[in-house]
Amino acid sequence: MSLVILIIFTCLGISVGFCILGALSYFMIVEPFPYQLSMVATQFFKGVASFPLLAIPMFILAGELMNESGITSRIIVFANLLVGRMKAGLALVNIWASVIFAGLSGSAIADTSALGRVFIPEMEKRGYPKDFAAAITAASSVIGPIIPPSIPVIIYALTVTGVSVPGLFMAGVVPGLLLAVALSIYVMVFKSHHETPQALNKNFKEIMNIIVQCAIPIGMPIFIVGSILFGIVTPTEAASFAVAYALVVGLFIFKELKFKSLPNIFARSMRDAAIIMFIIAAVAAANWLLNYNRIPNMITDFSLQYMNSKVMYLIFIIFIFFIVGLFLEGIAAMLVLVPILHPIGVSLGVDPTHLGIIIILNLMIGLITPPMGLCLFVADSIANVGIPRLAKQIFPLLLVELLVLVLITFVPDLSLFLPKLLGLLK
Amino acid sequence: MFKISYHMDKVLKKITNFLSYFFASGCFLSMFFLFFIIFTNSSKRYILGDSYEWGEELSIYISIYGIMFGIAWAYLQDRHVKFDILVRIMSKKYQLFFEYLTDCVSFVISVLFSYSGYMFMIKRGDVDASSLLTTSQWLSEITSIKYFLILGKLYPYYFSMCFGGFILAVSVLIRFLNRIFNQEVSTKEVF
Repeated sequence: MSLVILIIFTCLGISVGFCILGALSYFMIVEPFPYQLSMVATQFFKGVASFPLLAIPMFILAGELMNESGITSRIIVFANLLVGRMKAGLALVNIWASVIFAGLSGSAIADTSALGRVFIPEMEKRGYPKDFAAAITAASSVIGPIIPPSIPVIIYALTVTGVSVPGLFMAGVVPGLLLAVALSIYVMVFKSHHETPQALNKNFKEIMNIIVQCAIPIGMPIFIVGSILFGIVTPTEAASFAVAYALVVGLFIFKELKFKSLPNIFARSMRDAAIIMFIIAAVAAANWLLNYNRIPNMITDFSLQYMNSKVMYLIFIIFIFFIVGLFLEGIAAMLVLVPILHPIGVSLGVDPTHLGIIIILNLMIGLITPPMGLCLFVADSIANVGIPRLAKQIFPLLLVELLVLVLITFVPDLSLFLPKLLGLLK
Repeated sequence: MFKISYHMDKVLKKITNFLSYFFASGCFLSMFFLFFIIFTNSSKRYILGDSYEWGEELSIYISIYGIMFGIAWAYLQDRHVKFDILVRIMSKKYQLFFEYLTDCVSFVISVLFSYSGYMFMIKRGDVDASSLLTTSQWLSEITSIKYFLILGKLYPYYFSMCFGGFILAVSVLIRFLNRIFNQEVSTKEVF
């Protein structure tokens, strides 16, 4: 009956956290002792009472502060310096600016919003169709949560036992870059006719100035990932240092962040973190109940009767997460499905770090697929071309990303090579 | 849709704005102290070689209060993650009906959650908060205010569940009233 309530509430459009709490409360009320209503709050509290989980609000705050510090324009100038003279120059700048931005915000939606405001009108001026400009901005923003530091990676590491955050961070680097390269090849081959390459009219002094201006924000992800990687700090501590770094850069170096805007940024970040952590806590409470009744074990045993090969499991994972990602927000989908599907993968010999990257990339692709693609909505709110036109342009880009996903799924070394090289995985 | 009188409209707007300000202030303060404690604690550990024993536990409890303020504020602004594709394909009239229904169900769940939090606090709150006990005793001694001793128990921290459920229920109720009287809830900056 609880499951029926969960499904009905979900279909009614009630928020995910409420649906889980509602179904759980019903179960605790109707079932005899030892189940009691107070267990809902007990398990909810336990679900969020974790120090590593505090990395989430801290990283969100660091990203928000960086966004407000005027770094977007500096990143674009730097990306332009790197790839602006090539074929389809501005589209390439858009993609590679996303790669750099990924290291700062770790959020695909923030990426689409910040870069879209600059790139969509600018690409239109240079001759690109507006709908393509919006599509490439949304498609490239998927790179954000793959390249470290990444909030979905931290959540995955906390959901699954035996996975290290540094290992997962490093496992995301090659797939993220691969995604950027694949999108770059696509725009160079199919979209280069929209724009003629432009010469770099900058002297050595100007180039050095651009590099110095961009080195300051780029230093942040290097500092964060480096310090976590070498075991100097925990992810939560690193995130707090990232906030301090962003405050110093925004307030005293770039001077574009104002003291009076800090309360709004802090409050907004807490609210956005709360939305994610509410689901984490509700899912933790539901998982406690599932584990108490050994449901994941039963599902694993049942699934293993039919799913007896690694390849079949990986195909199933791609399929199920792609379908779920079409309709549900990525982190919520991950929190609900990973605790159930992860043990099956481990039983079949799938590396949990590799599995994490497949799932995260898969769900992030869901951000650009209609009908629930949030990045698509954000890009459309800037370009104002309508979702059908945008969907038509995003389709080939989606195929490119799915191709990369398949490659990453069936060539595990693409994800695992770097963490193994750095001794983060056996 | 119901018509609203001029005075009712003003009162509803005032309550909504006050709640937005209250929730946003809670979020701001939680986030500020969260950052401050984690940052100073980690810096102290790396510079001086030791950290405050209450640093980790207190920051966890602050974050839980922050989450409660955040989810209440997010509800007021209709920002929660939901699967509303089935509702969105319906006509406006049905959409509105389901929005009312969603608010009603969410209100009941919030009240139940608050009650669950209250039971949880009553049952388990008397346990000592291990890393905060010494500090609360020290605070009580130096100020001669015995009420500080409560900070060494889990009551004030478990109260976050009861309080969170309550403010969430209030937020849902106000959102519902704004919906039935067709009032927009501002999503602009609060401070």
